[in-house]
Amino acid sequence: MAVKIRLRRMGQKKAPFYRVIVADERSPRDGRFIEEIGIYDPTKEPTVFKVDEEAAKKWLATGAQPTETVARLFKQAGIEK
Amino acid sequence: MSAGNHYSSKKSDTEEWLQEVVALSMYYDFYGELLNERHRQIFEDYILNDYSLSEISEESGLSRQGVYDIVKRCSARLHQYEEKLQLVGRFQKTKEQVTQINETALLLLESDISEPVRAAAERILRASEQVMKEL
Repeated sequence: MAVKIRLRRMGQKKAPFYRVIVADERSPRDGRFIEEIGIYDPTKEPTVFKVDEEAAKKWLATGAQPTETVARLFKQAGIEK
Repeated sequence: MSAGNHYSSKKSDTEEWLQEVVALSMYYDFYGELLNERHRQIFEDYILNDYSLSEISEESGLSRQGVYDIVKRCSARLHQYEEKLQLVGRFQKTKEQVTQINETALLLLESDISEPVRAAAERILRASEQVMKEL
């Protein structure tokens, strides 16, 4: 089964906060995932984007597919396969 | 910001796209219940859970275009609600101002002040925390 890297909304209502997560492609919407490798926090000024570069590279190397949004965030952060 | 044009260039500009995602998810927190239940699931999968149009299409049995239309329509509705009601804008402004009150009270408490002033600053601090909690 393919593995995906997604930007998933977490956090309370009215306080959006995102995690960069690694999850099976067909993982249910209940929030289960394999690993959290980063965060994106737009409630901070300026917005915080932190990602574990090593983990990201490791997952990309094993064929995990980032979503378009995550791929762009990675590119911005200079993370490539 | 107009509602439709972010989708023609689908997730093209990273910053702009992320701002739109964050704005839409805030609008969704405030106005989501006004959308139809089936549309909400699709909107959530696309905007909050970062599933692709194709993935949602496979899962829901709708065409890719059908999914896209629903996301686009929901987004436009949410933008319209905000334009008319301004609940998110007001919430953010109030939150900012209460945060300032809160920080000012904290600053005051850290300085050398008399007991009555300290008691007043503490009341301001507690009141501001209460407002933030109930916002």
